[in-house]
Amino acid sequence: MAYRKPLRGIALIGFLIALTFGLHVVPASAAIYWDYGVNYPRFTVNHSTSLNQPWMTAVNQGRSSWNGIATSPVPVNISHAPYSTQNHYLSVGSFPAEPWFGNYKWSSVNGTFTIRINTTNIIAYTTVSERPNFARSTVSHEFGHALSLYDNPGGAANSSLMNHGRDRLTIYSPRPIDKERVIAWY
Amino acid sequence: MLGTRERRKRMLPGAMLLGVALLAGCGSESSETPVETLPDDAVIIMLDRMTYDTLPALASDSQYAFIGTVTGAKNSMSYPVYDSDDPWENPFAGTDHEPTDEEIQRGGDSVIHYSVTVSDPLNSSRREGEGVTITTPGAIGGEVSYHVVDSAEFGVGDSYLFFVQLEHGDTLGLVGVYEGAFEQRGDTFVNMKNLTTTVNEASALFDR
Repeated sequence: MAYRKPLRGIALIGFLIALTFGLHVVPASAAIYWDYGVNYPRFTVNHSTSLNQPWMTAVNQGRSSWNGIATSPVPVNISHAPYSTQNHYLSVGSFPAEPWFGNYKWSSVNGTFTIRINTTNIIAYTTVSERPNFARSTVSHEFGHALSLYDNPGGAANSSLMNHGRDRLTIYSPRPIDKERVIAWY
Repeated sequence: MLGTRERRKRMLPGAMLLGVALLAGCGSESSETPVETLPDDAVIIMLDRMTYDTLPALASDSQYAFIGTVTGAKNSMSYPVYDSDDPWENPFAGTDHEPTDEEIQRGGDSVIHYSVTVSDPLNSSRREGEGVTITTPGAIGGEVSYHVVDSAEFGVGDSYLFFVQLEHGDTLGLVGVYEGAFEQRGDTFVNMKNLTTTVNEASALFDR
């Protein structure tokens, strides 16, 4: 059928255009979203329910700070449950040789995420009084990745929770721009 | 059969529309996604960490700086540790709970240990010829492919300028995950953030 040949040509040219405009490494500062968050903003994360008071507070605040954002058809709702091998997972622990505060991993194998919070590095950069907000900021940031937000949206000058250069003592929950972006995505 | 010129004419409108759509998509906020398509058996990792925009800032958080040659790389597992009495370091401190094997196993992930031979210590903490291990998140080879956003990967046999911290046993971590690694280009060293330095300039930031 004659019309298929032009379609193939269009596909080829489209592919070449995509090569030109799409298949390059986008600098982290330019990206708003990524494809490795949850498909639906209502999900459960498993973590130990035996965390001590400081960490249970930080995890609960980091999780609930996203809840209620008016996505459609249902608002964001991140609940938590004890361990299960089937669901998303959050681990808080000391990783002494690793230079990150929080770490978000998406597995394409089973379509789940794992969040890890590094207590050792958080302690290294904070005083005791700074830890509650710093820890909460780290947990909230990682849940932002679960809601499809990328790091450093719009460059270093903005005050998004997703910015690595944010003041973690004052920006510990999603800012209005972060909420707007989640609503726009879902 | 259509002639080549005729086919090109027919392809042009569709291609232009597709191009316009792609360009328009690039400009709208909702489609500003990084292009990192993963295979089905892959994992992708993002790290929340300190960032360093200047050399003095990088040096101020570095315990050691040296030029070294990578001699090997291997994967290992990094598991959470729960041995502190500090309730901020050990999230189970102050409770009756002992971490279970499941909690430790599910908190673990792969890291890469790079073996590095120091060729030029920029501060006095390391000696020429000394072997050290630098650890970065991720994995090389294996059944599951790891993609760590903004993480440095090193070639065996290549030399780099490293700014490192967080010694744990013989293990060192890069300052800023990738910003603490500089690739040699002639007499200068350049990191992934395009910070440039020389041996003399970097050395001046430390007590030799």
